[in-house]
Amino acid sequence: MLIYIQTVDAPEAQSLFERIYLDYRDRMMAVAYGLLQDRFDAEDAVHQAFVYIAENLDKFTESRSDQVKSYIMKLVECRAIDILRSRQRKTAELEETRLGQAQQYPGLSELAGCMAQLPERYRNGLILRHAYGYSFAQIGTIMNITEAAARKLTARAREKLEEICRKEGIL
Amino acid sequence: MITDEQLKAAALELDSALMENLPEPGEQEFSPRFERKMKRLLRKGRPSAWVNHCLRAAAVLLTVLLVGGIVLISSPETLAEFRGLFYEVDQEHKYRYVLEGWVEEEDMCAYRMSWIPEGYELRHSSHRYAHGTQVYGDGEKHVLGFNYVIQTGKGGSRIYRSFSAVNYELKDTIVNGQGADLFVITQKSGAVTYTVIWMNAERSVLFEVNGARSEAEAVRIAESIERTDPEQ
Repeated sequence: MLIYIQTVDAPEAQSLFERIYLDYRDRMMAVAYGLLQDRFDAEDAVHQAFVYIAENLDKFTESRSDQVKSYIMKLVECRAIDILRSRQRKTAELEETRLGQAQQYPGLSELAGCMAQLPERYRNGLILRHAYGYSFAQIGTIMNITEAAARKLTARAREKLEEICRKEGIL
Repeated sequence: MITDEQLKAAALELDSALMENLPEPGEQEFSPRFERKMKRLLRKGRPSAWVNHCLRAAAVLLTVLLVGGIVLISSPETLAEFRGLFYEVDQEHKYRYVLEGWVEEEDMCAYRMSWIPEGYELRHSSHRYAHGTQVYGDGEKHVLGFNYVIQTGKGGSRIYRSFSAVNYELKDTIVNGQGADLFVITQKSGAVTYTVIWMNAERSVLFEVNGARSEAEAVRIAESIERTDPEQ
């Protein structure tokens, strides 16, 4: 019991939310800034992502796993894209640009390489759905869209991926 | 056609590559506006000082209960004192004794007093399966009684002993190392008698000796209780 009294104030008692904040805020800022190229917009995206995390903290049991990291990074990416869209800035360009400029990751399989060419939102939808098995409702909340829209988005992403695969001669 | 398995493998592979190639975080500088907003958000996620105080208070209480429990278990005298605190259940001075153990059918027996003060003669003796009584008298209206109740099944029993009609004082005593309640009773006539109530170590039998003329006599009779054949 006396040990317990001490742990109430010990660093381990630091809340999960604080741990997530300290572990990821810099990386989230870098991701958001990479997309938005504006420091204040990037801060807004990071803040919005943390608001979502704070409201859904019961979904997190730890802070440092690959799945949590991936989840949080996609969350901030989605918030950053939302900001771009809501401010009517370069939205179409963004989608086109990302589709046109395939991101190269050496060593990827052909299929993963084709997936890397998808627009960010399509790519994230497929990863959340197929790599981590999130439901459409969960994907919807991460991406700030309805469940039906999330379902449609992942279906379109799959179609788009098949289209790219056909172009690349994989299918 | 891409299968779900292929899609899963590719999605995991790509995600791993994406995570490895995230922009380097470096030392990010956040604006004071952002820091303020995050500070507010962090305060919401953190247990309040009030919650911490409650946790500390609960921990202290649990420590006290734990230490108190150890003291009670290791000291029959303290346990007897502690038990006395909880027996009085209502205004009628009713005392509750809880039999938590039980006696198996093959171990059933009767009990009797093996030491009686001089001058007493047996007036009545009975044993009915799980309870029994012995009454001795000294020829001068002085009666010495002994009762017992045996718990025969699992599930426990509560036995109430009421002292509503007399003036009495409750003390603690020890019978064969077990904590016991000693009731010093002042009768309407002004005579003082001593009643001892206690349980065996297994808490499966409740005993009562009443009518003793002193505490020492009551305890001596109580300590003389022995098992006997129910048929005798």
